Amino acid sequence: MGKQMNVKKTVFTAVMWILALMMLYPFIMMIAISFRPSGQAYQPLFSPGIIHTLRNYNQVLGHPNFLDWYRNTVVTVVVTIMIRLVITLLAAYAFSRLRFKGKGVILAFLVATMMVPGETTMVPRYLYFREIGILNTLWSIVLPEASEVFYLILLIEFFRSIPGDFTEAATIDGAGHPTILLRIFIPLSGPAIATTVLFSFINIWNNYLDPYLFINNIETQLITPALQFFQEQGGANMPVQMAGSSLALIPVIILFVFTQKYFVQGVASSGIKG
Amino acid sequence: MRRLFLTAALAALAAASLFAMGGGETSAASEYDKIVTTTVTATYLNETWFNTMNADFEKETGIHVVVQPVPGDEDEYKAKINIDLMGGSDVDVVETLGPKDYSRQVSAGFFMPLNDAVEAVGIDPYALYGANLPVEDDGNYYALPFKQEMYCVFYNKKIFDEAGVPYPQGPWTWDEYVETAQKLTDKSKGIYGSFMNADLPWMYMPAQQLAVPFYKEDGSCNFDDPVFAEYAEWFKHISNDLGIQPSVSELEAENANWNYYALEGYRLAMFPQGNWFTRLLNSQEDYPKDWDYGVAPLPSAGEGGNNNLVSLGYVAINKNAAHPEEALTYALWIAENQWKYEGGIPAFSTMSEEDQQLAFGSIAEASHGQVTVDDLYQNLINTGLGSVSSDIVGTAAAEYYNIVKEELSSYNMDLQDLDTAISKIVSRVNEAIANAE
Amino acid sequence: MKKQSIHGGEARIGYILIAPFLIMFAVFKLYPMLYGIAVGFWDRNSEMKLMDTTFVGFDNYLAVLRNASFWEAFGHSVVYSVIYIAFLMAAGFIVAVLLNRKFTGRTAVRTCFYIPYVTNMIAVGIVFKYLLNPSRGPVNAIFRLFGADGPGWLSSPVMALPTAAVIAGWAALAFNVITCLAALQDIPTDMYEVADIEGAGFWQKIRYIVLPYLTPTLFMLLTITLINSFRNYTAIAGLTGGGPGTSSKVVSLLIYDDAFNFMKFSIASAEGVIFTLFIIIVNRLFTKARSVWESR
Repeated sequence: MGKQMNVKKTVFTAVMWILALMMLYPFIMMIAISFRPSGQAYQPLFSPGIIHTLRNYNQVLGHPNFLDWYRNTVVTVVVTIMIRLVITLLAAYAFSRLRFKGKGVILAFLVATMMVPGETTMVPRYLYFREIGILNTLWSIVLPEASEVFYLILLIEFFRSIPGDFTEAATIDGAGHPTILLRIFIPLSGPAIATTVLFSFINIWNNYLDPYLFINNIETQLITPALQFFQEQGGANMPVQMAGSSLALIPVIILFVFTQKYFVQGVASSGIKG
Repeated sequence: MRRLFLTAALAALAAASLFAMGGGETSAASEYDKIVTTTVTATYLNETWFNTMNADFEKETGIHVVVQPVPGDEDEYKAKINIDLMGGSDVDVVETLGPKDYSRQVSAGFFMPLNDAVEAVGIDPYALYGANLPVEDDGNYYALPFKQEMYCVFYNKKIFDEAGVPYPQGPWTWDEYVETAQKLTDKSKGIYGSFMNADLPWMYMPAQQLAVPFYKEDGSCNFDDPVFAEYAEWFKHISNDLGIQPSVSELEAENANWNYYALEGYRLAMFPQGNWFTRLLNSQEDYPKDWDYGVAPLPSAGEGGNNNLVSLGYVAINKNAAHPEEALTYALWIAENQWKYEGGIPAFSTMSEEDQQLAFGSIAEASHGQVTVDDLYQNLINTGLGSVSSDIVGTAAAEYYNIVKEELSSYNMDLQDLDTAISKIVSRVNEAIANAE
Repeated sequence: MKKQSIHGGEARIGYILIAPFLIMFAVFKLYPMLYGIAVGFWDRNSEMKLMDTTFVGFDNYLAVLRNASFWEAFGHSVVYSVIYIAFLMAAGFIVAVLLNRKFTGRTAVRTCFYIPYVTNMIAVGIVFKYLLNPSRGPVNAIFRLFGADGPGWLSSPVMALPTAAVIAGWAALAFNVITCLAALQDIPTDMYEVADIEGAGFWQKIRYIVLPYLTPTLFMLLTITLINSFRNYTAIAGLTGGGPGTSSKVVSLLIYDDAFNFMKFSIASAEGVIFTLFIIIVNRLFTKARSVWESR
């Protein structure tokens, strides 16, 4: 019995590891391509005659604006996430815990606007941002990103899952809404806030279309569209772009490693189970 | 305590971030007395000649060039400059590749007419550029042509040597081209005798050489001209039946940059391309290859089709330019000099001996003996061929282009027959034309 | 009387708390959307009329509804979304359940499953085009081992759309997995203990503990996945470019082409509005279905 269990467990572990490697394959391929000359970009992973070179990394790191792009991206991500967290937490608390007229209608309306694909508003946004003078600044990315309905819904759903007895006890103690939000909801929402930060980070970090449209100066550009500056005759310089992508991924992966630990341990101890 | 520290650190980071947001004003703007801004494809940005050229311009005129490249390839560049110009961008100088896009930008009213300014500096553009000067119906020209791109056939000498087939020589016809390609094709060695992009104008190239008009006299779509059908069928025949070149389905399967096919994916004996391709063929570092290339002229499409395909690059000035005077200086300078740096062909109506040496000398040198200045001149310019535009130029040209490409691709992949493809092209294009008017 | 005043105070605080979000939203999101709708009623359909504000009524909307290319793209979008949602919901749940079990190196394996989510879509596209190449890719080599000709995947008009949908789902998997995992970890361990005592097997635990517990999470994920499934521009543009022919051209590609390649902004806006209306209707139906299910 025990032995059989062991075999089963080993097989399961092996299968999971194989699946994991399959998931990782494109990433490995990306790293591999980043060390090749562009003429060999499309060769298989292990094929004879591949030349390995550090030129691509030299080209990316040696670009006079590379540090600008990196800094711009970090600044944009940090500022956006902060504004987003503050306004979204406040609104999510109101929508999940307070009764006021028009709540359902407003929320339904916000949800409905989530369906509008970004492609349809590209031109109006461009003209409008130009009018109010934020075109070609990082604000043109930060301000529109700040109020993202998706994260509002995420936090509302999370707040709704917090048992009512918590707040009832606090209300009886005479705590006001700011206190309840600050002392009870936010400390309990660790996982939801971590999720928000993590996904915000990835989405803004990998956002291509908006900075591509709204930023013209090469030194104001963000990293993801900026990688597209590495072109050669006939199309993208694949290996250099892969080298840039690998460098751009470092902070995202670091964040992943940290929040994953948080998910494993943090969720269990957060007290949501009640 | 830890929490307090964390909060303080976050607050500091936030303050620093907000401080760093600042304005979007170019830092370069304040450092120079005179500047000119130009928007170009990102391809230029990575080429040393472009930076050398701008440095020389600054040395000569004292005007600093601020480059605003567009991230992405040439298609993205074309889309993005339109968005910027229509949003009222105040960039000064715009480079446009291909008459199709240039004519749309002119009709959108993006550019300044240059007649007075150019003639004021004592240039006679009509004599200098001849038919290449883009004079509009209103008698104005809104750009100067700064380069032209000629088509030719590049070939792999090694494959010819191995097969014992003599190198191709002009003048020749498409029948001879196909015959040669058949001799060279050897699937067992992965060799294709020919390669043509799954794109326009390759899908009906001889029809374009025959200068069959894309529009009827009344302005409607003329793709139902039997010559288009004939050569669309021919393209499919030599790909799918004769198998001398990868079929459209095969190319769609990889959907890669076609540089890849020419230089890595297959062994290709011959491929009709624009002259700019020499830069890839010469780049041993990016595209290591163990064979030498040669150049032959584009085959003739027979009587009336004795033409080469030509595309032009234009330099224009934005009508909202922030520095119109500097813009004019730069545009004139580019029109006169860019081709020398880029290693391209100027758009002058005639090329002097000296011009030839300037245009092709650097290419020949970079090829390390694979081609000579004379090879290039004889096979690109002095071919005895006339010239026709490689683009569709006219109403709704961009849609025309896309529709033809979509429908002919489907035809080549056996998703529909030729008659259906042509009739769909005609009705869709006519709809687009009606919409545009 | 007193109750009412508390109520009034609650409402006031409610409005104050939602105000920052709503203001940001109205200024930076809603206004451009309304502007976009307005463009649909104007005649900005060629490069000559980019700033035109002539009111043309429903002309653009009618033109879109009569356009066969729009309905073709519409159909493609729906097929894409159905496959994307089905794949992502099923795979996200299954992977989360698997990753929730204990085994050696679980943390590392989890990280591997999250990596595609952060990997550049260009890289994903290149690798999959290589893997799925009909004649030279390793996937079809496996088919040939068994004497079968594999499908053309991204190059076949029938398979291109489903293949692209699954690859896009694969790239987005981490979000669903993480969300499901977080919910799975909320399940009180004593529930499992009780189940173990009662001798319940793996499938019974899934059926009677995991699924009921995860229903709210799955519903939320379904809504999000539904919405994301229509934001498919990057994936389709990178994998198939809408081809072969037009066989995988979805509405977002059509809108982009019409607006930025053909400068038909009014038509493009009208397409966007019509398609958005469709999405809203689908979502309403879905919300109805959810409330029926929950009140069951």
